[in-house]
This record gives sequence, structure tokens and C-alpha cells, in this order.
Amino acid sequence: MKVLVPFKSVPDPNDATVAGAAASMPKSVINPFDEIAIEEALRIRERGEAAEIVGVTIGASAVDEQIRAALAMGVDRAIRIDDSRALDPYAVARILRALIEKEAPHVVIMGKQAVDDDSNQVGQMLAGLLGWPQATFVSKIEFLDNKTRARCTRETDAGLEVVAIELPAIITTDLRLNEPRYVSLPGLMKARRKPIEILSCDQLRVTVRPLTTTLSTSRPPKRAAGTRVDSVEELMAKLRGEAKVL
Amino acid sequence: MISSLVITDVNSVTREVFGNIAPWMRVVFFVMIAASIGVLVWQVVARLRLWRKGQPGGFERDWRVWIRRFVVYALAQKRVHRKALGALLHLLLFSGFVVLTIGTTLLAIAYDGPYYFHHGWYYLIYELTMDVFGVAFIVGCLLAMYRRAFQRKPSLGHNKSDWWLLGLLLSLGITGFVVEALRMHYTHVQPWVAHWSIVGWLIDATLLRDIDVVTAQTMHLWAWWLHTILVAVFFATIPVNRFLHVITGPLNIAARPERPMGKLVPLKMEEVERTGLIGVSEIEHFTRQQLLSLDSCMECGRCEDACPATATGKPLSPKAVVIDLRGLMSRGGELHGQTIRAETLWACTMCQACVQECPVLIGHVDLISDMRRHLVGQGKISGPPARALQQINSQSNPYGRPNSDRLAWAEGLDVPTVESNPDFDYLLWVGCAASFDPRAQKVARATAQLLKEVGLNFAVLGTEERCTGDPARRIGDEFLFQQLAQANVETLTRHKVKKIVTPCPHCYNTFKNEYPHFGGQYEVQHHSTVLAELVGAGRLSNGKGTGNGEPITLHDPCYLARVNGEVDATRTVVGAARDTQFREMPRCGKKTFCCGAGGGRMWFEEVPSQRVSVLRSQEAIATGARTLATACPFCLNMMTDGMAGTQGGENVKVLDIAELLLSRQASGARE
Repeated sequence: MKVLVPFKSVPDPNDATVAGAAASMPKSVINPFDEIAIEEALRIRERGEAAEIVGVTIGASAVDEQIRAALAMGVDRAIRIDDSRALDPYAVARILRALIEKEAPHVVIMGKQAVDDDSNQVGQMLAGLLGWPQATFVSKIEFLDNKTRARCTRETDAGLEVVAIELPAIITTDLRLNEPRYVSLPGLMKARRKPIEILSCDQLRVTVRPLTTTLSTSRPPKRAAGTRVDSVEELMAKLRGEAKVL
Repeated sequence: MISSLVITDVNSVTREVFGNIAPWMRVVFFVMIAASIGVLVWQVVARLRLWRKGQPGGFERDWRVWIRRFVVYALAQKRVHRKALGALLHLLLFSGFVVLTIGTTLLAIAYDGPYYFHHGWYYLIYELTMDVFGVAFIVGCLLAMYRRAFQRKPSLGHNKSDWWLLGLLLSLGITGFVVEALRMHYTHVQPWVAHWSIVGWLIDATLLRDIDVVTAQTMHLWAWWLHTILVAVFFATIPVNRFLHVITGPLNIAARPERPMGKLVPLKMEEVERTGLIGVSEIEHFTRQQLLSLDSCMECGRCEDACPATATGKPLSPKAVVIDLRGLMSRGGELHGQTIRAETLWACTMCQACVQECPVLIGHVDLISDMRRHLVGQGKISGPPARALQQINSQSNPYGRPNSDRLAWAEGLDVPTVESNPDFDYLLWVGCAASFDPRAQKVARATAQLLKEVGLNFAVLGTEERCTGDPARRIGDEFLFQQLAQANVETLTRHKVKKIVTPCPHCYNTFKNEYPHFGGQYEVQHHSTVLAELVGAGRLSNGKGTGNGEPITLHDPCYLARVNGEVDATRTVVGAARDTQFREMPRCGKKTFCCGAGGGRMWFEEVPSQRVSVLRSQEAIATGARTLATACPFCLNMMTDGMAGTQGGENVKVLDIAELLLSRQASGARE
């Protein structure tokens, strides 16, 4: 079985020095949800259910650092679609469709959303464009019937929903699916020897133009200081009197 | 046959050797003993071959260290003497074994050698000595049997083979005396000579009184053969029982490299790139000395008794790690997963209590650290500790806070920085915990306030400070540690730092023991020693008693007390000597018990029932103390949690010594 994992490079969510401002760029990392997708692919391979894991990302050469991280985690080979434009979810989905038609994986596992724009659209659009089944917000994956189907547990607001889907399919990952492994420096150095294939949109014969444009970004308002109360009674009084939430 | 001449000349006093043994029997005897020793040597050589499969080197090279260690730990057995009964029985067995072996060897030399010296005063003193130590040996065996039969401490381990061994040793001792008594009986040793062989004489005078000479000779022959066979069996089986440590113990004691307890072995990136290996994934990746150390364990269980992970029911016993690795070395198999589970390795707090206890100087923590390095190198770490490593990498601190917040703790205190006070004497190295952990920030504040109060010329690095790398190194990410070490040394060099004071024992240990390897040589002091000096000089007051007259106790941080030997300064700061209300916990000073945060455990999730801090809190509460003072931000954090989760803990305040000292200053410097 071949697993394809698209991943996105995002500003490090742990790096609080920059929030949206362009003054100094924060470090980039693999989108945490995509990291979970990579980890899941590795675990599927470790269980003996996958033979190859292909990582895919879109961006300029700056994202090679995140590709190295994915390779260091254990992805077998990586493809970078060289495009430095700011792409919206539909454009990303169309590029990925072109690549998936070329690579023909049995399953695509990807983060349910990226932590930078929180769109939560690419997986769904991709399934739609390909006409493939999809299981989103998945916290458990099992393959059935000689890997022709997958049983996926979805995390929904109402509780856990278990769905069975025919393969090939798109699966998007929830936070609870797994905890990604750690990549140490020697692992990163070893990954330097693994190949990165570079493709362009032209080579994939896909032309994209954004349907949405970002007009502006701004910081969230600074939070006002809280107050400390000494007793439960005081807390209740404040909740009733000042906050009026009771 | 044997005459009963009356001998009055001391010089002519001697005994027969092989008198009752026919020449062909003597030949059989020598062949048997030679074969037995041959088996012993052959098996030891087989072990030696196994050790040689390890990585070359790793041995201490300085012969003066060998001799010093041999005297202190192998002869004087400094570390065996920590448990009353165990120490006594070991001393008896050890001295008995050594003296009887030397004595028998001397007899063989006298018998076979060119010069017969086995007579006269020498002979009399020889006989007395052999009898006294023979008794010691038997009493030692009996005490060991008593301990196994009635104390049955689980950490000692109880196998049938232990009873076989003790039975063998006891029979050796008893048959030895029986042979002596029978020989004395049929050779009619005169009373004044016989009294020197006190035990043989007593047996002869009581049990053998009515036996005739011929019967005695026959019995002697049988007893002698039994004794001889037992000796042969004993030597041949040494390599397969606990007794192997009489050979491997002293070897490991001498061979273990001399290195501070607080320093882990640095890896070289070139090595890793060349070999593709990081840490230990197979038994052969340990050094030869480490493999030897596995064979030096006699399974006494002292490490296990001291281990906080074992005490809290975690899947780790330092003894089991050693025994399991030894089994792997002998029988083969997979190291990770099959022999040693990852949870076992992660359970270690690296408090070094096992290392401190081990009588034969096994380095359990080094073994665990080497195996952890492999797990981290393979990415086999996830969850909170992996996140801590990522955050150390991206934010230079394990808390994941932006480094720009490094001085948040100092708000409103006007703390001098390396920019505002470039000519500082002391660098106050705050450490990540005291910089970011809201509770520990108060320790940084208290320390800075005290230093300001006495007008010490100090400064802090502020945003230029990074994690020292201690948690990264101890979790197993050696190269993340080295990155930080190099960056920090560079920063400290740029600011011409010579003296460092820090409230964190882990930072302290790293500067003191680990940074010199990376070119960082500093006069580093833990804040306790600086504060103790200021108290000693009368510049700060440690009050009269606790100030409020309440009972107080002290939790020694492992990396201050055990690892770096500093136990007095903290006591000076809390005024232990003059405070009638000061109470020590049973485990104190260098024998302190971990809080549970070491070895990177601070960043692991812990089941509440397995919290080391709860055990330690119970110990502190039992002293009746209302204040628990400590001197480490991690201990502070863990013990605060521990008290919160322990009955009676709600009445105990957990404070850093700096906070306590600040509260005792008359000048009103308190917040």
C-alpha cells in the first residue's frame, strides 16, 4: 500500500515572539495536524500495512527544512511542488489532485486543518475533486478486507462516529489520533541523504488562481488582567454581580 | 605410624600434610583441583570474550586510581558497610574466604616448595588464625541463611541456587574443621599445641573423645575427600553463581572510569556520522568496561532499595536492568523492546541513588542514558517530553515560552543586567524554571532581592540566557544539549563571565561538571553556598530559629547533595544548627531521596499513584515539620504538588531557602 501525506509549513505555534506581524519571521514547522498524519502513516508502515510513504508539500526552497523533518521522521521520499504564491485551499486541492493522479496512492492522510489559517477545507475539496470517499477528524484508522476499505473513528461534537470508507480515500487527522515522534539532530542529518523531487505546476499541467485574497491581518486584543479572589463565596458573588453569568 | 612423642621445643611443632592420604590419592587430588581451577579459568575467559565484544576503551587508565579504589571499595568495602546485617555477614564471609584461601595456598607452598616453613611459632599462629577465620566464615554463612530464611527482603532476590551456594560454603567450613579435628585425634597432638587449633581441639575433645585411632583415620579419609570434592565444585561453579563477583567486582571497581557523578559521556558528531550509531541499540554498543560491570553485579539489591522509580511501582529496577542486560550478553536477543522496555528507561529520574549505593561501582545511570540516546535518536519519544525537547530547540527553554519573557520574573525589582551593569562580579544564572515557572519565579525574586540587599555586584543575562541543556542531555538528546552548551559558552565568553551563581542545582551541575568539556570554565556556586557565605559573614541573618518557632525540615536536591556533595550550605541558610525545631528526614544529606523531577521526568506525565513526590511528602510530614525547605526549583514544584496530594500536606509550606531567608531579614526586604 502506498500512503501519500500532504503537509504544510506553518509558523511555529510555540513561538510567541511573532503573532501575525511580519517584523521578524518566526521559525517554521510542519503543521502539527500534518505531523500527526505523517506519524500515522509511519505507524501503518510499522504495522506492515504500507510499503511506501510519500510526503508532499507546496512552497519555495525555504520549506525544504520541513521536508527534511518529515524525511527524518521516516517518510520514504518527498516531493516539493515549487510554488511560492500564497495559495488558497481550492488552489492547493487542485494542485494536490494533479499530483495524486500522477502518484496513484491507496490512501491520502493529511491534517484536518493548518494552524496558520485554520481553513479546514483542503481535505474535503480534494475528496470532492477526485470523487473519492473521505473520513475527516479521524482519531483511529483500521484497514479492512485486504486493505480495500478503512474503518475510521471520527471525533465529532456529538461524540465518536465510526465510518467505513472504500479505498482509495482521503483521511484527515484529529489531534487525538497519535502523538508524533521526536526528530533529533542526527536524524535530521541522516535525512539529508534522502531525495527531494521538485515539480512545478506546469509539469503537473495545472493552472491555479486564487479565489480568495487576504486583505489584512491584525493581532488579537491584549487580554485584561484577571482578579484573584480569596474564597468561593467571593467568586460566586463576582460571577453573579459583575460577570452576570449565573 | 604417627608417634606421640612429647615435644617441648616450639620450633619442632608442625603438622602432617597428606599424612593419611595415599600417594595415588594425592595425584587424584591435584588433578581434581587443577581441573576445577581450569574450569574456573575457562569460564572466566569465556566471560572475558563476551566483554571484548563491547566498544574498546571505557577503562580508567590511572593505576593510582585503581589502587585507591581497590583499597577503599574492594578491601575496605566502603559501600558494603551501609547495612548492618549485610555488612557483618559480608565481612565475615569475605575475611574468612580470603584468609582461608591464602592459608591453604601457603600450606601448598610449604608442602611443595623448597623450604619448609610450616612449623614453630609460625605454625601455631597459622593454626589459630585459620580456626578463627574458619569460624567467621561459618558464622557468615549462618547469618546469610538467617537473612534468606527470615528477612526475605525481595530486593535481594531469592533463588534455589542461593541456598545451594550457601549450603556448599557452610559444608566447606564444617568439613574443614571436621578434617582438622580427626587429624588431631589420630596424630595425638599434645594439648598445649592443640589449643592453638581451638575449634579442632574442641571437636576432638567432645565429639571424638571415644573414637579409636583407626576409625578416626578412616573417617578422616572420607571427610577429607568430601572436603576436597566440595572445594573442587566450589571453584568450578564460581562463574555461574553470585560468587563470580569476587573476581569481577574488584575488576570493575578498578576499571570504572573516574568521572564526576554529574557528568554524562559526551558523544562526538563525527563518530555518529561515521558509525551511524547513536547511543546503544545492541549490547555490543556498550563499552567493554560496561559489559564487565554487568558481570560484577552480585544482585544484592541495594540499588533497587534506593530507587525512587522502584519505590513508586514504576517498571524500573536498576538491578533488573543490569541482570537483564547480562542475560542478553550471555544468551543474545533483542535489546530494545524485548529485553529492556522503553517505559523502563523513561522511568529513571537519574537521581544517581543506585550509583551511589552500588558496592562494585556499576554505572546504572550511564547504561540507561546510553539506551535513552538510542530511543531519542530513533525518534521513539513522543508526547510531553518530545514537546519539551522541541521547545528547548525552538524557544531555548522547555516551557515553550518566548525567550523575550525571560525577565518577567524580575518585574519591578530593577535587577541589573549585563547591559546595565557590564562590570559585574557574579552572573546570576536564573535558569528556565525560575524564569518561567510562576512558583519558581518567586525564588528568582527572593534570590535577587537578597543579593541586592547585601550589595553584591551581580547581573543577569536576561534574554540572552538559554536552557543549559540538562533536560535535553538527560532525556537523551545529546546534540541538542551540545548546541545549547556551545551557544551558552559563547554568550558567557562574550560577557567575560567568571563567577556564576544559580538557584538551580541542575544548571549548577551542568556548569560545574559538563561545560568544561565544551570550553566553559567558571567558578560556579549554587545560591545556597553564596547565601551561606553571606550568613556566615553576618551580612544576612538566618534568624533565631525559624522565626515563628515552627518545626522545619529540609529536602536536599539530588544534584546538589548527592551528585555534588553540597549539604552544609542549605543547612546554614535555614539555621539548622541553632534551631531546636529543625528536623532531619530519615533520608537526608547525600542520602537524599529524589522528588521525581530529575532525568527529564519533570516533562513526563505521571500517574498520581506513582508520584515520587508523594512518598517524599509523607516522609517530610512524618517529621512533624510545618515548613519544608528546599533549594531547587524543580524540587519546589514537585514537593508543592506532592504536599497537595498527600494527607497532612495542606499544613506544610514548601519554600526555597532563598524565600525563607528573605522572610527572616529584619530590614523589611520581604515582598
